Amino acid sequence: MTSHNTFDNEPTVPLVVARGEDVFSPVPQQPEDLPAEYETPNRPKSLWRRMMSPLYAVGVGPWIALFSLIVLGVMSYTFLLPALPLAAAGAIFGSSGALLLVPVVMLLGFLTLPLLGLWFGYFERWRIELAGHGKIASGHVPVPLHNFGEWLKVRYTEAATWREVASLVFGAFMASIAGLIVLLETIILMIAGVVWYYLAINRDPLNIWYDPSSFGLNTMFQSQVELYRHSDPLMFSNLNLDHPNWVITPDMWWLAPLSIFIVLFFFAYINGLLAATSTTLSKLILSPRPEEYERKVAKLTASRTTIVDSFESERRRIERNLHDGVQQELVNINLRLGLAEMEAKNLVAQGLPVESIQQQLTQSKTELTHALQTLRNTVRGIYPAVLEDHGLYAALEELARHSVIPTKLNFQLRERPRREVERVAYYTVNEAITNTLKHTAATRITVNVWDSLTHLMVEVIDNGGGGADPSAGTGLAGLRERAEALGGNVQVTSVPGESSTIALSVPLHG
Amino acid sequence: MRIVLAEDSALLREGLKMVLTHLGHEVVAWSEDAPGLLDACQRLGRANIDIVLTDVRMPPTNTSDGLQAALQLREAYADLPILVLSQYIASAYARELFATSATGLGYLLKDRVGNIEEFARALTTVAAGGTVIDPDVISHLMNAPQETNKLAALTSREREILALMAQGKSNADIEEELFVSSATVAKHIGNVFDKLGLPPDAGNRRVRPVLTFLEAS
Repeated sequence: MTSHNTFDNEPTVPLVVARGEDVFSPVPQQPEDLPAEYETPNRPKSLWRRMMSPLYAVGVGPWIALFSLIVLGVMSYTFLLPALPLAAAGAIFGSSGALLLVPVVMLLGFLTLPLLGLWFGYFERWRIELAGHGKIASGHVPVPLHNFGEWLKVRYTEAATWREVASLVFGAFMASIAGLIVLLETIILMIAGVVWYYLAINRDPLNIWYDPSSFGLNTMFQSQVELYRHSDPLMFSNLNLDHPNWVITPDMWWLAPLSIFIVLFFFAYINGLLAATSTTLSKLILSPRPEEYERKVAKLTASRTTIVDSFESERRRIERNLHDGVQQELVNINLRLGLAEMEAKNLVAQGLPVESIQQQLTQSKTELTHALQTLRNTVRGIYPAVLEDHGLYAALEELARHSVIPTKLNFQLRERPRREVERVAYYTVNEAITNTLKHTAATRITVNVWDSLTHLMVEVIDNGGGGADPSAGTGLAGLRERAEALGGNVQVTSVPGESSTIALSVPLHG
Repeated sequence: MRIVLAEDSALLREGLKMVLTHLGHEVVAWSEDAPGLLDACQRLGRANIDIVLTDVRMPPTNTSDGLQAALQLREAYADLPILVLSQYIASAYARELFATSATGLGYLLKDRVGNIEEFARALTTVAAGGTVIDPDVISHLMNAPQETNKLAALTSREREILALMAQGKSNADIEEELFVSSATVAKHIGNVFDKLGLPPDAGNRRVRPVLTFLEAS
């Protein structure tokens, strides 16, 4: 059968991965690691890539780096600081002899860290994305905050939280280094600015001496030399004040802005390196591990299965209530009406004028029978008892026979699948037949059920002229949900002017 | 007739008792679940039961316990007449019930009991060793897709007669219902047997064709 080929080409294995991506978007991508051919023009450039560009220093890159460092510094210290008073208190208690309190205070500090880390992680991920190093999934399991106890429990035991704590400590460390370096850079720039001012505005020459006692060089403006010469002549007795080794005259003021440009160029790279290193390492610390993803996928699949299962038991309950309640009552009324009808018939036979009563009773009974049939069809749609008792084939056979459109069933299974799989297969066929009836002018439906080595395959093909909309219908969405909870999928394809196909593929073994 | 009744809905059980009493039968034992039915039959013994009337879906598992109990009873007492009442048309249940034999067995939809005469006739037919299959089940079998349907070779008249036969109706009943002569009925029945490749002297011949189909599908 040609239609089966549609399935053979389907990638069935990567389904879990695909679902994982859907669920956990934003997907953690590692743009730096991707080969060049995968790059898209829209993708933000990482700081590493920016620094490779020859135009890095004149672009926006250095400013991003600087901003990133400032943000890191502000954030890490803001979030680490609340823990410091506790540490300080610990030290005070320790030194004042209240040794018993030390572990208590340390514990308190330790316990606040995850909460601070949580917040820090939030900003840190933002910073990493800002620096163009890609998005990172938080790795946190969603827990509603109003269930605070549960939230705390989950957060304190999550790997993601402790990764964030690690990143906070690392961030504070990096920020300390970066802070010192940026401070140094600022001082250098300020000195250059002052020199520029003295040379260009004050026309004050800068004298430079070779001076082993003071870092090798000593510098003084001419005005300073004059000042010291009068106020404190002995202070620079080791220098020949009138004969400096080098003199930068006011005419050479351009040396100051030039040196500013040169140091700025280097600072751009130094800051870039600092920011890129902190971001990359922070990302390494913060990124959820693959095992965590797998665990989460497994957990989520399980919870979806639970939801589907609870729907299932709810349907079963409704069916049971209908069956045990209203169906039996209607049957009983039918019974009584039957008796009354029979008695009326006897009375008519005896010549009594009760024909109209007999007619009314017969009419009521006909209507009641119709009500019972309708109810039976509804109940079958809610929860097919035949499916539970006799399996998929029997249930689909019923479905095919009840279908208004002639339906052909090709059924080839080596063994009875597990119940969940049977159910999703049954509901798929049910939904497909209902949809075909509702939305198309099909005159024929073919249902194919077979098993590949790993999957149960179901195909419902109609000749209704195609045009099936894969996104339409809540029924279909529900089916998809069910199928995906079992690790399968539902696909709707249509050949315009010819046919529509709803195809289901579910793993046979959970 | 002495009847053992198994039905888990108290309401319907009382209704059935009332109808059965009204029809002049005696409910010698009743039960509200499958084990109860088995116990009652064992206690009474085959000789004291004319027919068993049981629901399909009953406790303990609330699936087809009644049907399973019926099959067990048939294993113990091969000739014990049993009429199964079901809420479902499902031919799978009928197929399971008629898998090994068909004499003194019936499968009737619960809707049908409202038609007291039909219900009474079904009881009598089954108790006398006949076979009754609900008309709705028959018509669903008949409606099966042509390619897979062995009954496709039959003309509509032959199908009609086959359906009536399966409901346990006699030739006379059929003549009356279809307004045809007994010769015509006999001829059609002969054709049905021919077309389905059944020997005319096969046992339980009246429902044989339907059973053949049930087994094949």
